[in-house]
Amino acid sequence: MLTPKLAFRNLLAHGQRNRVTFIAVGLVSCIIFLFLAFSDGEMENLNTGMVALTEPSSDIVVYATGFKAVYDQDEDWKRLSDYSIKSYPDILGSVRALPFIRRAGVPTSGLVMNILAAGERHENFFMRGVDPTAAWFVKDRVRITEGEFLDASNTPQIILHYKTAPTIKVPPGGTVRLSGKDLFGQVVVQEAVLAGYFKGEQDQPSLGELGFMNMAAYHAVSGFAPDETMSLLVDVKKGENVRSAINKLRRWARERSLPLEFWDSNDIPKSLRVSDALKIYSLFRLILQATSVIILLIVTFGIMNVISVNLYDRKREIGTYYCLGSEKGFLVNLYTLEILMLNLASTIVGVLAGLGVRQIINSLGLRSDASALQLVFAGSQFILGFSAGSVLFVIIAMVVVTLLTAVTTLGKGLRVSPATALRETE
Amino acid sequence: MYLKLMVRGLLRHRRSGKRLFVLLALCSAAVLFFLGFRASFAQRYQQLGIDLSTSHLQIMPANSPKLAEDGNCTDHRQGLVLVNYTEELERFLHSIPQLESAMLAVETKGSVFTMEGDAIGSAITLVGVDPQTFERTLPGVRVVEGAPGLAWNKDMPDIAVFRPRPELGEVVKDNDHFVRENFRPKGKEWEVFKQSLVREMPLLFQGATGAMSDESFITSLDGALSRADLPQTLPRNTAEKYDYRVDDALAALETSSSNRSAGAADTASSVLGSANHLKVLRKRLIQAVYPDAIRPVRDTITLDFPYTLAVPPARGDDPVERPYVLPIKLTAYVERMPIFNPSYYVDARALRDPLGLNEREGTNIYIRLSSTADAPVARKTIESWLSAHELPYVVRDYSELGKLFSSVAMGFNFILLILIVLFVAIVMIFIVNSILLAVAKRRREIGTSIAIGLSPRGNMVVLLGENLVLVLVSWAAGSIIGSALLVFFHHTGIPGIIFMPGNRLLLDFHPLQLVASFLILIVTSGIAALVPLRRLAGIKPVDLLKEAA
Repeated sequence: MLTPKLAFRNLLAHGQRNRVTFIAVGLVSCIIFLFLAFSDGEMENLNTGMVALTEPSSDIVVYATGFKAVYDQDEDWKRLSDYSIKSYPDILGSVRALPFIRRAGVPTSGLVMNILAAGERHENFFMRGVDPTAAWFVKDRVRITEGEFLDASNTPQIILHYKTAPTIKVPPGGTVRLSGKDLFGQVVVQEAVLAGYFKGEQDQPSLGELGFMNMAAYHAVSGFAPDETMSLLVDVKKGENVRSAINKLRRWARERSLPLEFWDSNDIPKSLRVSDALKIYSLFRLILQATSVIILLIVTFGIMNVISVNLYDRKREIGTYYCLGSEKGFLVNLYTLEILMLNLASTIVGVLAGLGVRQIINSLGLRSDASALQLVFAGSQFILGFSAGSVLFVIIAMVVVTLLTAVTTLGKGLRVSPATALRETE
Repeated sequence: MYLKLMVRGLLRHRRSGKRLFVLLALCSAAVLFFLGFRASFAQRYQQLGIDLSTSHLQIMPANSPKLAEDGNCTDHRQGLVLVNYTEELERFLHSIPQLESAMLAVETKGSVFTMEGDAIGSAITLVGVDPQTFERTLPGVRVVEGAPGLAWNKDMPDIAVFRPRPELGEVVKDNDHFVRENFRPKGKEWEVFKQSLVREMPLLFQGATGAMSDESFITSLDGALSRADLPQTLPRNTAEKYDYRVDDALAALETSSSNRSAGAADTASSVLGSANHLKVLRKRLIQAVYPDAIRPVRDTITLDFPYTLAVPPARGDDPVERPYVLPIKLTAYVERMPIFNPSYYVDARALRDPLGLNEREGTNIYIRLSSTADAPVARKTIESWLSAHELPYVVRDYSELGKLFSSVAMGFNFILLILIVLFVAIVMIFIVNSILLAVAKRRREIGTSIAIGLSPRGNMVVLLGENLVLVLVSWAAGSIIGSALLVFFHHTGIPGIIFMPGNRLLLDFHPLQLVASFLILIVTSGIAALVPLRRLAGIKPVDLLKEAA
């Protein structure tokens, strides 16, 4: 207990000297935190924007029994179609009624379709059906810039990204023709009404490849029967454990003899389109982390310099400790603890300052429609995110800096004769 | 006198000055290095875009999909929007003094399929080029592996295609032999699977008794991949129960084996019948028999291997797509723009017939100039000519065409700028600290000098001068270190820069960066020194004399 007490007292006693280290470490922590917050913001934008619209996810994924084993074999849709969920509206209704379930919906499967509009063919739209009862999949994540959102009518409808409007040349309410292959390889051609144009809440150039259709259009071009789907997505209520919810759902399905299997969504691999996007931004995060390490190396050198000057100036104090019978090990612990306390305090202040900056920047709501900026931010809004991993990275980095500083400076700095105390006070 | 005092001061306090010197020298080296890094990245990345993708200028129709803000993402038109490269236009372009080369291109989309019918990746960007001018117009697209020729004529059975090296996700390593990771069962299930395979295909495991080790099991299976009689060793129930996968695998193996035994004359057939490919097909056969236990065997992307290319029609007014399917052969891997979607290159003549284009029709004209600096002048000249001839074409330069590349450069430059600013800020803090300590330590000395007639302002001049000398010496030392680093990385390149080919960025050294680093250092240290020295100016001489006493 004596060591922390002394370290704390020393910290206060040499407040003026420690101020430089405090400011430098705090500044660096703040900047590194902001670097990582920028990367967290990108991942958040990506997950709530492009990823959520392309491949919505939830806590639990529901498949027909045997689907995942066949899916893992990289089988094509011809074989996978044997494993679809039948009568899904009834199943959805029952699942939603369960006390531990927050919400459930049909994600639908994406189809690559071509569109014949105003006499011109447009290819490679990734079209997804929209479950009208699950707004969080699409409706909550897009804004309609022109026309209307899809409705639950029997008229096939589609909506497209607003940046495609100049080339599609069809106003909302106009008719287009969808063509392509259904999920089972059969050629399909279907007329649909272009209900409107959308913009992602977190917009990105790649969203220009996305389109959405109502269930009437989806059933016409997917090849599925109206009550058939490949999977269901289920979110559990707050505080509910996903694993135990899966077990409860398994029991529930067994009791009703429903041929269903339930998976934690973390066990389901992402599609190539999504994992490629995630990979690019993860690489960018790695670059930011590497940059942070370079900054830390320079800071370490600076702190080493300040600490060794400090120790030089505190020779008398060190000599006095030796006179009072302190061992070198005790002093190493004492001064290491002092530097650690100082660095941790300034790191925490730095991170708190970073959180303040983050709050201010996020409240400004900086948005951009420029593609280049959207690529940099991974969305249309510049936000700084937050993750425990980032805070941990900064704290661990500063602990490492402290230890490095202690190892490199204390050995020489504590080599002081007890007589120094007497000589210099005379 | 001031000079004398400065030299004496520096010599007397060389120990504490040494620390500041090291810090300043390191900072100077780091600033020089990062300035060099930033300039090299910006310059080389821009050049990379010009050499590999955009060239200096491009002429295209005013409604070209290439003009869409986000390219293919938002402009999905399938029909090609064409430019007519008339003889008059060609003559004019060649009369421009800055022109190095001009190339009419046919850019479209397509899909590549293996002989088994599996698609390689998603839709590709296909660039039909003129082999005569391709190398001069896009010099960055150089062959890194394979045969360099891209020229095509009607007598060739397969169309030569260049593509970048396979990406990590496309590389298939273990498709011609077995490794433990190919099998799904684990633990007890794995042992049961091994025993059942030994029981069901005894010919492959002759002499095996009891439980087999993983190594000998996999070695035996590997041996089976060289056996021509593998179809005869399959479990009996395979023939009894129809499975389309086994049927497909047997058919593919039979075709390739017959190619081999007939000693196929053309390269494509001989590659299909190669011992290596037969191993892949045999492995696929075993996998088809045990699809639940063995992971699918994927085709690897191989040079000189036959593939098919599906190209959509040039006129996009048909509701149902009927693509043209062309036999191709990947003949070489070429350099690509890292991170961004790669392009495939083909002789444009091979595309003209199926797409119904004449030899002067294309989607855009690439223009290479002698220097990037010539781009504005050349652009203006071409624009005037086009407008005088009332042609509905536009000219775009490399910066407009490479907007997506600019976002990468912008992000990277921003990080480097933050790094430089941060360095300067940290160094300022440490300099303030060092000088504050120096002033505190030398109060007695300063007091004495005041006592013998030197004013506090005079002391400030001496200390500032000492600081200046220190900065100059540190900058010189730092410049040597920084320049040495730049020269070193000019030869070896900085690894891990994923935006550059080979993940390496070669750094360039420019004398102007030395001047910039000097200015940054002198201004920073000057400002940093002023803070503690201003205090000194405010101190009353009598106070210092009291302390000295």
